Amino acid sequence: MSRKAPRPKKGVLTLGTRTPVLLASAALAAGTAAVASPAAAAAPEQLTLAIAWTGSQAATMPPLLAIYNKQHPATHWDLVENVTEQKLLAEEAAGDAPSAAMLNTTNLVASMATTGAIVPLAPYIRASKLDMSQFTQASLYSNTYLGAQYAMPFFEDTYALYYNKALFAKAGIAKPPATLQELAVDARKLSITGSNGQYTQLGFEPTLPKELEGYLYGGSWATPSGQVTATSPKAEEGVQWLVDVEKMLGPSKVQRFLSGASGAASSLDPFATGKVAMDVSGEWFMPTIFQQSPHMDLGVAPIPYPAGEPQYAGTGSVGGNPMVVLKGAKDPQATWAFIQWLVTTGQEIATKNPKLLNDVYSVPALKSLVDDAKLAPNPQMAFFWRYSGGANIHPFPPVPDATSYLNAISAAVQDAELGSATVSKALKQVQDQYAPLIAGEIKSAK
Amino acid sequence: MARALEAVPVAAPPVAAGRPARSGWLTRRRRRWLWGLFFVSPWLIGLVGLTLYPMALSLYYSFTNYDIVGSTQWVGTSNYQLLWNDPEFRQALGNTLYLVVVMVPLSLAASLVYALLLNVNVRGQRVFRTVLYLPQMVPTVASAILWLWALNPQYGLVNTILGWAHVLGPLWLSSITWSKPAIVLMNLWGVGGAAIIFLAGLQGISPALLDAARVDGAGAWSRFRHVTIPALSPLILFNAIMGVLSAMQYFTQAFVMGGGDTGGTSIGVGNSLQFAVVYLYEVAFADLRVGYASAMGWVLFLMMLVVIGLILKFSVRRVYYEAWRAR
Repeated sequence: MSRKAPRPKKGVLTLGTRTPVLLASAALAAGTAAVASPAAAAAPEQLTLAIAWTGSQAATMPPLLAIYNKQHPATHWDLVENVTEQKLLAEEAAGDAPSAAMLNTTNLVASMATTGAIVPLAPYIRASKLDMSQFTQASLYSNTYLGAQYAMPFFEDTYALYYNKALFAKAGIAKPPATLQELAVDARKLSITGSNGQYTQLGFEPTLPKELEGYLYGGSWATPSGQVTATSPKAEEGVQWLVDVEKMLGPSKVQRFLSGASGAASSLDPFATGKVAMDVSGEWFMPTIFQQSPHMDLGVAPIPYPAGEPQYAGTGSVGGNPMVVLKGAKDPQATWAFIQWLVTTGQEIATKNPKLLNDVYSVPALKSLVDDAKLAPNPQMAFFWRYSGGANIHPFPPVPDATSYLNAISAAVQDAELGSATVSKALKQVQDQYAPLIAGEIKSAK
Repeated sequence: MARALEAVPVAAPPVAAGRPARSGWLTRRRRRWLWGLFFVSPWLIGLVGLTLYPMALSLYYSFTNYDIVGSTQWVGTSNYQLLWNDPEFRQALGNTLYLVVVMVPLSLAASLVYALLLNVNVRGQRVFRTVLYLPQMVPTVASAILWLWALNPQYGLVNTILGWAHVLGPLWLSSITWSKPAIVLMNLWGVGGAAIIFLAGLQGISPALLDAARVDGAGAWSRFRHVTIPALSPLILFNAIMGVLSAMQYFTQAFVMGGGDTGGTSIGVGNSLQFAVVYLYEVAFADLRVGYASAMGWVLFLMMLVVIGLILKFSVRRVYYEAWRAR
């Protein structure tokens, strides 16, 4: 039904302010010595990085910039936080864009690429001989447009099945569901109805982020060449499964329960407070859970696959904050050098520093980091990290107009859940609208 | 403007003794006209720079594929043709039309009732007036958040009150059917501005007229129907036009209460709160199809002109202007 409101990204721990010691240790972790250059004597070139992040996540950046500025005296990077894409575009149109930017969502990469707002990175990648195989496959794909790299992954969000072990034990269920069919059975078993006929506990919150229901049966929302596939039988099968689960639980009862236990009516989340037994959500949800239920016996598991089709095990989605070089960047070469450093060395520094990792609380995009379980702050996070590198992790396809397309799918799924339309009819309407639109955008951009 | 100024007989300022009137192009009349232009220039610059120029640009962009940063190409009327076949735009227009047809008349009726109540001379009248106007002082986003709480199906104030009457309240914003009525309900809470205008109008009605009607045997309803309503009709027209303009540009509350962002979530369940301007925003600033969004803006603008034209036409024989009558 209605999509979950994005939850705040907060760090679990409250640590002190940054100190010179922190900078020094981070610099050491980078394992690179300051490089003296002839330009060091001259005033450094002033460049700006605009980021979408705010709050604790944004706090990750100043220490990284400080290290980079120290190591590269020819340039000096300033940080501007909380920059929306609208502001970026306005600045770009006015010829006053920052050199580098971190966008709020990968959904915007293809649209910005088609308009020429961001520059293709292939020439820079080739020239710098950056090894692209060091990044997780899904994180790279989400930052492409028609196979060309337009953005670089920094930290990512990925999604898996959270489950409350205590509620499972109480219901006599020994382990999390492995298949979608098991999930539906468990959801029913774990749902408890009160004397007023309304739920007091819900077995499963039947919404999936990033419309990843389309991938559950091996489907997709678009091909790599940008062709819309909203009516592909496998995508439809995934949506049908979700709609069936919602209908089994009762859409009105589910909505009444969820609206009462979350959202604007309460800062408390129903899963985090132990009223929902299973929920598919991102790693960023963990701080909320730990804050609201510090003693919850929290389990994380792969998103279940269709019974008899284990090839779709480990299905999930990924999103993140793309790093881009904006058209008209003051010094594209220096900007690329900075982004390259940030997504490799910078990411490594942030991951290996507990304070910075706690601030960013996300999934790294570097394979070497996601596979290193001892770097993760807890076993659950280690699971998310490993999970993000799987072969069945799919970002929402990087196509133009991705935001509207995603919105239309979301509305279509809701229509089907509420019985306003069949799944086929609702998805066909999306296909009929977006297939020509996105094809036209791609064609005109070429 | 020059012709208008010429038409108004204005006494010429005294010319300084011994100072000859200038001849040639800069005649006294032209000098006065230039001075006039100088004094209205701040407004004129604003009108041209911030209204007419952007409007002209958006009209031009509506025939292009403008996307803010890329090269702009002329695409003729294709944006308008696409709009015609865009089901989301049709849905957004339908949602907007709901506000115009349901919310505007209800708001007018509610504000008129409020004004009539506030016009009754009772103890604490000023307090009531202040309380009624207070919602106008609450920032739009804050009031939207407040109503998110009030309309919560399980613990919200509205459903709690319904629960006292053993009524299971609706899902409000979590329902396709009830999300727009929820917006209307919220809007009724904030009609203090229109009510104040009506109140001013009520206080301007001559007691002599009401007394004369009473002497002629008119009852309360008859006095309201035949004296109060005609006297208020210019204000009803004004509030109706303002209400229609506001409804057709409804954005902030819907965006906040419907959970809008650039992440692709639907605005309200099944996009039931995706009003025309909300969709325009998404197309322009998330998809970067500014040319298409401009076409949408112009279609909306023309629709507003038509709707307001119809209201004005309908009002010709129904709105009573005392000043016209006196001429």
